[in-house]
Amino acid sequence: MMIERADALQLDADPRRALSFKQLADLSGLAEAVLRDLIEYGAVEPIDIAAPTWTFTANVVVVARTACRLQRDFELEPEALAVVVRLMGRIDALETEVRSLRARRTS
Amino acid sequence: MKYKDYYAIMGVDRGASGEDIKKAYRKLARKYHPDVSKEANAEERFKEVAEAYETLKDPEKRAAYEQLGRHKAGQEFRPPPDWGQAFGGGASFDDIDLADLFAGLTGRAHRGGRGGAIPMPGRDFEAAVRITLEQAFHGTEIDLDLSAPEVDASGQVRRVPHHLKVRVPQGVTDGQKLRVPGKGGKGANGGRDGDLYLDIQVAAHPLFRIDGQDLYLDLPLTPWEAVLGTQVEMPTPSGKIALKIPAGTHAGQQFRLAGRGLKRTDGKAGNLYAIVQIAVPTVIAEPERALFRQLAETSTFNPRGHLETGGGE
Repeated sequence: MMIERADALQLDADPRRALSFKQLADLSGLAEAVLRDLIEYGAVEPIDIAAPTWTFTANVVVVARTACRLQRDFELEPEALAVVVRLMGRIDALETEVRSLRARRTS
Repeated sequence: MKYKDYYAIMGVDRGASGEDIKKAYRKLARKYHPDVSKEANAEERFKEVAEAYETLKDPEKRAAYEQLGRHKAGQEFRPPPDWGQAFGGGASFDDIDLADLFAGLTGRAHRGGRGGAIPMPGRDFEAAVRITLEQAFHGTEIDLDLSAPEVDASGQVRRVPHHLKVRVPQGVTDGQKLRVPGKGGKGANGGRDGDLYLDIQVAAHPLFRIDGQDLYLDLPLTPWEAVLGTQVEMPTPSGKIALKIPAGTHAGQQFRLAGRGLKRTDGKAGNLYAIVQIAVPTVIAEPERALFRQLAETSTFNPRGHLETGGGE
């Protein structure tokens, strides 16, 4: 069997650091219309929402890919998907804070 | 090829309606979806459920599945001789998985009747990777064995094993996702290859706790080391160092060792924090006890002075 070698990239170290709308749709697997809805509902945030052309930090890919899986697997409408993604974002932020507090606490 | 009982996986009987199957799927998805579930083996269980639902929700695929006959779960079997002609999927059923067989039907439906092949991007793969803190600190190379369905030159789907050595950069953290471009499923008809996403899990370390790129370590000192000051040897992920402890150090005080945490993507590194604990001996010899008594009689230090003025009358 052939052994292949490859480099794993940290998403925020990706050379395509500022992603275009199209790149984000391609990388996440989301349909462009759904991605646009998620942005309008505030579940996926461009670097500057008021900019004439939206660009995104690379770590938004994780959020968008999660949204894509949830939409596919739960057959969610964009409005419901946006609510789920925002709630998951809050859970993620709280879990990060708990991890951080635990790390700082002496055992 | 091993038989999978999709009805048993979904917990429905063979006569279940499409609506029953959908309800069963939604219930199981809520329980096992890896993005929302904390159940053990959730990802593995959800893959089975999703695979079963993918086939049973589609009347054409469900009919094709029925035509495979009834077998015990896990039993080796071959489709009936005319199955390939009726539903496609080629003449050979070696080296493939039941899911690949039905994925082939999807491809056939997408290709059929359009007079041309549509570029289809390859699937993205995901793999959970558990590494140690030392591997996260120094960077590492991990071995992955993946097995993916591929269409060979004669148009037959085969499951092809791949052995992949992936270099993981320094400074990855627990819960981080890494992307390995082009190492997912093969694209078809000129579509791009999928990517491989690695879900990094950093195993808990007996000494260091991780917060992003910063590390925390409990540093026990004796009471006299804390009072008088000293120099102690302490571990860091890159080896032992000598740390100067100033006189009058108190419990909970943090010493920041700049740049001794995990590397960030901008090339700088997080910090290592040593959090002081004052350790008290629980068993002491008589000469030590005498010295403590002498200290107690001599010292004027009162750590509870601020309590005497507050509260009460």
